[in-house]
Amino acid sequence: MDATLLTQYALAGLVIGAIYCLMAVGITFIYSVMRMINWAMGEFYMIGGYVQYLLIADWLGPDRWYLALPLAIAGVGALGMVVQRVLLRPMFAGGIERLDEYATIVTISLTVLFRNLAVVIFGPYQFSPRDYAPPVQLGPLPVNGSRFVAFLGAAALLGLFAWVVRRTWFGLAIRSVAQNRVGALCAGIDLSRIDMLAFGIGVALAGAAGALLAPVFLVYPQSGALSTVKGFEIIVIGGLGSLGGSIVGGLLLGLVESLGSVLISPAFRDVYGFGLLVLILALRPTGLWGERAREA
Amino acid sequence: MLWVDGVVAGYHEGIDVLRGVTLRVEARRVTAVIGPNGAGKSTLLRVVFGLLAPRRGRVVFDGHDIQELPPDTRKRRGIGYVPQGTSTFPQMTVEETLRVGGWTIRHDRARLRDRIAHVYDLFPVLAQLRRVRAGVLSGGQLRMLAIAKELVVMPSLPLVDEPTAGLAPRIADDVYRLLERARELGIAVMLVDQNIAEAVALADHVCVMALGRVQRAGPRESVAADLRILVQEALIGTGG
Amino acid sequence: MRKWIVAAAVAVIATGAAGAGSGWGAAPPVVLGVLTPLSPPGDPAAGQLIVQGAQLGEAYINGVMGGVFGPKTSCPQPATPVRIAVEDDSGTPEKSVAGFRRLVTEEHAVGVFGAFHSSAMLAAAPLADELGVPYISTQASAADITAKHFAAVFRTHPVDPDRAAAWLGFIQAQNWHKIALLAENTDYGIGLAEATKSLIAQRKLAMTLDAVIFDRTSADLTPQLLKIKAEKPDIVLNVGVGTPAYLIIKQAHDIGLFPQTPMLASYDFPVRPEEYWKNLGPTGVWLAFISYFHPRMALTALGTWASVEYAKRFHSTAVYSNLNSFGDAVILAEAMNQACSRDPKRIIAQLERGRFDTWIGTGATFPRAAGVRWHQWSPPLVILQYTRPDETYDQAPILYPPAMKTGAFEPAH
Repeated sequence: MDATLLTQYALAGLVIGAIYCLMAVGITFIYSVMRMINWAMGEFYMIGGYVQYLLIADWLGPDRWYLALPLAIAGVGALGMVVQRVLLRPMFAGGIERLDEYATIVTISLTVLFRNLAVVIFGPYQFSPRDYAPPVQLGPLPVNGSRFVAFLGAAALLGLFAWVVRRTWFGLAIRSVAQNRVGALCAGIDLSRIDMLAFGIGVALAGAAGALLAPVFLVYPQSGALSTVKGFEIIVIGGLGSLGGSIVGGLLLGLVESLGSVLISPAFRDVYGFGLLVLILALRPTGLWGERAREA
Repeated sequence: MLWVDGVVAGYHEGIDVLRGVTLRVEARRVTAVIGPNGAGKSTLLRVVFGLLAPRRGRVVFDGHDIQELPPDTRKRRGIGYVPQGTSTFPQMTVEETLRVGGWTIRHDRARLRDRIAHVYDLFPVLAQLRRVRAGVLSGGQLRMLAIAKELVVMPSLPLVDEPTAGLAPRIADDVYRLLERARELGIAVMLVDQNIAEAVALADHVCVMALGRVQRAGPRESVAADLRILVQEALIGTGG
Repeated sequence: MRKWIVAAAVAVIATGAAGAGSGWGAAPPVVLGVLTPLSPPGDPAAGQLIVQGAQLGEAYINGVMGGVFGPKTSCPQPATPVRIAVEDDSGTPEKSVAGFRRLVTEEHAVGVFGAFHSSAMLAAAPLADELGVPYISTQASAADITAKHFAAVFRTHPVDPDRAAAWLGFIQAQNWHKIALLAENTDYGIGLAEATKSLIAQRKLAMTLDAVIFDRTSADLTPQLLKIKAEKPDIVLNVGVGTPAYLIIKQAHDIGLFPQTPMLASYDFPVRPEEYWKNLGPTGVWLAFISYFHPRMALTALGTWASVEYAKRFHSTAVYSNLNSFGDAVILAEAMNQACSRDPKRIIAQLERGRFDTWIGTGATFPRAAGVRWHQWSPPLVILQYTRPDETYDQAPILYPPAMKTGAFEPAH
């Protein structure tokens, strides 16, 4: 095997893996706080892409994509908070017995709603803003400028996210809610507010991935479908509820997909991820860092 | 200081767990709520803290109706809640847990620091464990931490639910000694307990509940004499 | 009171206008079913174009032909108008089956056309046989649609061997030998890869083919493209449909594979200029692609009528989807006229033995031929190339076939 080519594949895998991480971290974050799986994650990714595209195309211009990014991320976060407040809060207000089923039905309905809304509003076309930056030479690999920006952006956002969760009061509250809702309530933490913010932040991570990748993977109504699948693949690999697991799982998936393509055959690229997943499930059913057992 | 007036509440449509509960908790007194399983004691605490909305009736605290307020507001008003089972966080250190306990005063850094230091004075064991994750503490240490966490923001009325359930007797004793110190701290306690003898021994006022109603309430002396009969009646009542 | 008067007046005018405009007898209109993707996950943009074409067909049959069994036929029946009924198949097998059933049982359609996604059409094909209603593929390409020899299924769209013949002919003319083919894992992609491979073997061409199949849902094709780049092919054949087609171009560009190495796309998605140039910008220059239509191609009288009428109605240039859908509607009407029948089974029989005028040729037939040529009529193909940004396909030079050639392949510069 040609060493240069191998390095190229590994680099390409890491770049894409960093972006997978954003999705996975968003999913696992919402899960750990609200104990629900947000199946509409990919649609928030899709909306992030559209908002970014519209901001660049109609308002800020292609040179000021970096101004559009925070706006797109905040916009998706705000939408997430509205969704949480209007559709998901009733879950925790009592009166609904099967929380898991309720959350699943609501978020799956949202995927259908958002996809069809995107078709109605923007048409079935595919959009793509201009590349954020010219190609960058990363060692032996010419990396597309937008991909490089997306990689840096993903790394920065994950760093910021980790800092907020580990070092701030808000992060402390989030962690307490994730570990014991009643315990957090006893301390006087406003759970409905934390839930709303957590959902907003979780989907904003997906929106960020969508906005960062808008020039790379195109923006269209179904663009979120795959990212949801990848996100869940990583969650299973890394373990549901583990942020570290999401990050390692994302990078691992990117690497395995990329290296499998060159070492075995590129025809089955998406199968390698599932292979890894099955292997890990067989060896460690809770994922690499999954919760062993839930606290009573 | 707390007046529960004709409260009716339940978890499912048409099934009332509390069927018109009226009781008073006096300031600086320990009030023990006792009664058989299913009497509605824990449910009563949930209503007082705001985890369950009453269908009818009022909850008055320090002269204000509070039945509409969310739990975090009640917490700020001075009601604390130590639920049955765990209210601590397995992945957090003791220090972090106490900081969560001080959530409502987080903006006053100096005060928070003082309060946590004060709690460590009360519980020297916890001071030694401050960097240890709650997940590895023993059952007794966890219960102590759960109570300590509530004391960071000194509540004027902690609601304590079954503080010794599942603990070894010797450790249970320690917990009761701890509750006795409430009087030194000048706060009221509303204690729900299956462990009738210890609870009554500790209490100033006793309130006997059965089938969602208060059967008898009064100072310990007036209730203690025929306590055994009362409880038996209540048990037969639920059995039938 | 006033509202009543207005409503009554409107009703009278409406019925009067309908009666006056048509002048038809009492016979109920003949219904032509259009089953096409109008919502995701199908390609609704294609579905829209197909519906527009069908509307043109309805207008032509009723307006120019005077309905079916009209004055120019020798049929004994009174002239009867046609009406199109549209169903959305979302590009999915299950909705396609349900839509086909509804068109036939509720709308009483005597023929159905408009299919775009092969898997959707293949799902409904057995139903067409069962109900005995002719089903014409307007733009679904999979070989099985005709190769399975369904009694009621026809096609007016090029098949894999047509495409393979076109691009291999072009590659041979360029004197290229090393071909890389990147195909999505659908009936279409795998079928086209197979057809290309077998044609090279069959004609004993001095070419090597490296076919890489990818999952249609992957967004990142960089690893596959890096591998192709390492092998230094003379040309890359892009067999993606929709998003993957764009992703291949973009990502090949990112890693320096395209336009340094020529790329040829397997179908005509670059003819939608608003989408193509918006998505790719200057990256899209130098792409060669197969198209089923170019204004330089000589249209029949039918085709000319359709493209003029299209421009009038929709204020833009007709594309292949419009014209072929229009053509399918007219073929069904011609078959009814030739058979003097609106009975679907007799329409099927007439399609098999008749000759039909289309928008691009005369004398189209649907014989019971062998293999994929069963009930198949292929319109001509051309290969075009974009050589400057924002070019529209009617300005692009035709590279192939030699008979229509208006320019030579230009390498990137």
